[in-house]
Amino acid sequence: MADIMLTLEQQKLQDFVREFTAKHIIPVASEWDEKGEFHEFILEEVKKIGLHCMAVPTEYGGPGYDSVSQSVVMEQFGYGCCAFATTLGGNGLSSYPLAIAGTDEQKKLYYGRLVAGGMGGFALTEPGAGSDAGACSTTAKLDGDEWVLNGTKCFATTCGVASIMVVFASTDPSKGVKGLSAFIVEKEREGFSVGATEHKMGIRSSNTVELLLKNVRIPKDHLLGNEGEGMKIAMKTLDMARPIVASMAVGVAQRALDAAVAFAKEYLDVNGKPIGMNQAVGFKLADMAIRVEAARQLVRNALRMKEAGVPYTKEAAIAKTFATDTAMYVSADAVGLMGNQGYSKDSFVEKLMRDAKVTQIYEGTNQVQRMVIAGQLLK
Amino acid sequence: MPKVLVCYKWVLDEQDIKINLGDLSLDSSRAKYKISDYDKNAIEEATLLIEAHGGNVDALTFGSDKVKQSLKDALSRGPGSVQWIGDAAFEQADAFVTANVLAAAIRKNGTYDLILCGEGSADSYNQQVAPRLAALLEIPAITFVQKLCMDGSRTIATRKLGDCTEVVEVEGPAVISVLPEINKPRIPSLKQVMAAAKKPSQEIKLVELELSADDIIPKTVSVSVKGYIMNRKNILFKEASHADNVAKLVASLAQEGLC
Amino acid sequence: MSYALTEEQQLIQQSAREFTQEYIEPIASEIDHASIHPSAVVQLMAEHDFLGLYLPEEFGGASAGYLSYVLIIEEISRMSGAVASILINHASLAAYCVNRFGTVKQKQAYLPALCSGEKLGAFALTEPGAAPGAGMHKVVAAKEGDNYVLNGRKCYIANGGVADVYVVFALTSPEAGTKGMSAFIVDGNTAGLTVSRTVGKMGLRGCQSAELVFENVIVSSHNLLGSEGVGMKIAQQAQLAASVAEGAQVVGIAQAAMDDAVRYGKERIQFGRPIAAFPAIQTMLAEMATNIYIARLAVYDAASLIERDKPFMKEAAMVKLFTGRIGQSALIDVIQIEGGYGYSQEMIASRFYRDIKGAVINESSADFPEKVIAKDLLA
Repeated sequence: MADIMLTLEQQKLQDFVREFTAKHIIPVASEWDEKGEFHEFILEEVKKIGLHCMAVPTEYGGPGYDSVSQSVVMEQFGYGCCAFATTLGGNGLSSYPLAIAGTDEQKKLYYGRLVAGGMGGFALTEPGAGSDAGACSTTAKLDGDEWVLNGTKCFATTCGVASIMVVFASTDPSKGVKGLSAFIVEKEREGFSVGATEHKMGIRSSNTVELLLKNVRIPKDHLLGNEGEGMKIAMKTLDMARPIVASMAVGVAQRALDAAVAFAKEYLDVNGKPIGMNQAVGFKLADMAIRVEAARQLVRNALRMKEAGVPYTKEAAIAKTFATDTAMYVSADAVGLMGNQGYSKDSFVEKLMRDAKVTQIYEGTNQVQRMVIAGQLLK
Repeated sequence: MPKVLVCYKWVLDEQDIKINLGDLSLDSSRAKYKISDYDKNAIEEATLLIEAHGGNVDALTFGSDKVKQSLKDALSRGPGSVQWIGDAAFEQADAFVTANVLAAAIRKNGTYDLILCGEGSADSYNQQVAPRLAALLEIPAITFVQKLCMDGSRTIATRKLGDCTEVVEVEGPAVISVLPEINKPRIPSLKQVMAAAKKPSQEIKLVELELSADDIIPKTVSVSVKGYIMNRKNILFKEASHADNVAKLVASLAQEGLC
Repeated sequence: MSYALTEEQQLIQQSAREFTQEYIEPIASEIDHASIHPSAVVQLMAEHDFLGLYLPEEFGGASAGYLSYVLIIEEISRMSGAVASILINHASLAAYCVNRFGTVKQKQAYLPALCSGEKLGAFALTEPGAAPGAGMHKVVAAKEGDNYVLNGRKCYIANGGVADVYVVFALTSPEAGTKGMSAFIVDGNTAGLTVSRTVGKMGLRGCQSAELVFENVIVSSHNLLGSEGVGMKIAQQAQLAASVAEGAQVVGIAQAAMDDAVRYGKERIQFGRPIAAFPAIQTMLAEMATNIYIARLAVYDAASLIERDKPFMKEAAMVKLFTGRIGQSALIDVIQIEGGYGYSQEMIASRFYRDIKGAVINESSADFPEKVIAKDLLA
């Protein structure tokens, strides 16, 4: 059914990505989840249609999609496989710092790699610094014309397979948050290595690793913005990423709803009637649909505010929180409704329920989102 | 067939005791009781002995009025019967009083081939009751036993002494205190728990033991009990170079006498 | 917790705690990873009289009562939801049916072996119903002389393939729908009864689920439970009795998960203090502690109704409804508190998250506990 609130181009894009997802992602998602291996080959397919670097502006060779279009694409990818969407979302996220603080040269370098098919990574979290990014212990010291980076990053999405990444390090540990700076690091730099791969409960085919930086030397001009601006860049990046995560979550929730509806139509109760005919089941489906639709519209609303150039921080945080909570509850309800079948690997919804949980956690936990929303309300 | 007695103490579970951070006083208001861990080894060893040689095991305990709650627990672990002395005098009792009370109760019952105790109690851990009991009963004491065998009226025990072991033999009745490594106490099956309710238990009143007033006045008095807590010092080294951080860390550890 | 447990019940609880720490904790994560039925632990549970705990002494049980039984389920669940499920399917479903609805002869023939651990029980109700033409799979029992001949399929049968005795629900009068359903005791080694496959699950891995095929399985009419046509009544009562045990399973898992979150919250330092010091985290913990407390009281109360042979269907359904909600939300919050750490597959929080959903799954989606409660209210 056409999504008539979208422009014609956006509708066409939606149809196109829906077909792509049905053909290339949905058939393999379960198998790759089971294996927990990186879905390289899906990525190859996405590169063929040029959707791997949506966030790159046209002047640097990107497809030039507006943010609603990007959201439409990410919702479809989320519908197909949250792990894959996470990889692509992370790719976009890793390039936002460039949009925020990159020079033309830096953009050429970074975007260039993405357009050429390389993956981008974003390494902020550390074992001791999660929501509290200021507790960063990775350091960067200027030595002549080069920065020397030392430290360990964890839960770094896609970084095990990335070609280039934005790494946060402290240029002045005594200043805490204000000493944090952002750097561009290419994977081939000496001293850069990938540590342990994280085995996760969900989004298992996405790549989450530990990064080890041992005397990694990068040119002086790989500093993004100024020294001490790292936190500001990170926060703006997460601002921009919120609607994208929210879009994926809407996709996850929609998939769960669709599965539950199909089940309710097909599964016959002991008297031979489809269980959807039972009002209790029907109302449950209705509740799920109410949440999914509300989540989708919250995301679109935040993005339209962004396109209109008005502040949307609060709305983006609201959308992220509501959409990811929706993915969580709707996927869990779908498993419940589908009973033993939903709980088993015979159905896709058990994967949705494992995947959905992480959307409430990453790219700013929903507690951090509430801090943002409350901060906006009370300022 | 041997007649074995095992003594146990009903103590507060130290895991449930919280330390009040202000004055380091102990808060045991939510603590549950348990059979002192070392005494569980004694009960198990006594039970193993009669499972191997026949005979029977009785249990004996001295505690506050709450000690009655311990009977089924003790009985589910093997003994065929239990005697208990529950008296307020227990609250202040030291090893001297406890041994006097237990010895009087044992004398009242007649003789045993062996009397088993844990090495010490989980709360005060004085390690005195077993040797004192032996002295009062005028029979040998064998302490720190990690292996125990019976051969007719002879008992052969392996004692653990620092980094060597000693095997001793004793003829006739003796008091034995056992180490935790002597066995692994069984986890009672549910039928054993249910059966415990049907086993006999007998209360002995402290007055029935006809002890003199001096016998139940403790020689040592606990003046205070305070928690001992280890605090993190939360020292953060924030030097720019890791080498400086390491140097400071080592210096700090050395200052604490830790390296 | 001051619910008036008797001295015996407290001892049984303590004994179970010692047992689970000794024998279940060390294998809990392994059986989840490898998805293997822990037969050695089942044997140990038999030796400790867990398998026939509440069943009558005259048939080899321990006559310890249903409340003691749920105490044990709670303790086991703190270590492994899967092992608890094995016991629930054995004791509250299979053995329950035989004990509650069997003749003295049937009890003599089956209960002693079910209590001693010589035989493990399973409850075969669910049929693969979602596919069009599902009617073909229904297990039908045709009377032939002194025997019934069973044909059809059962799916998602817990303990399937490892059980020795199945309580099987089959249609003796297919045209009568639910009113034509009857219950049979079927030996696992009967000719024609085969396991077509085992089913992968999101959680409770280690409690094997399987699909059973009945091909001309001959069952003596002596093995009919109750009379023809009462199968649905038997199934419903057994399932509600089991839902009280499942409530205890939820309470046990949620308690263990909360304990883990408390430990993590005290250790994890962010923004210069343990995250447990933040009101947002304290609110979540307080909420789950309250829910667990109330759920536990409801479970104990419903169990004591069963123990005293009072009507319990409404209360059992309430337990199911309430524990279903609070169990899931507790685990969603526990992972939220532990963040990326708890989401890792190696951490027990993620196992509890997957397991607790299985503990609250409805056998059939149309069987909402609300329906049972309302029916009782409106009667």
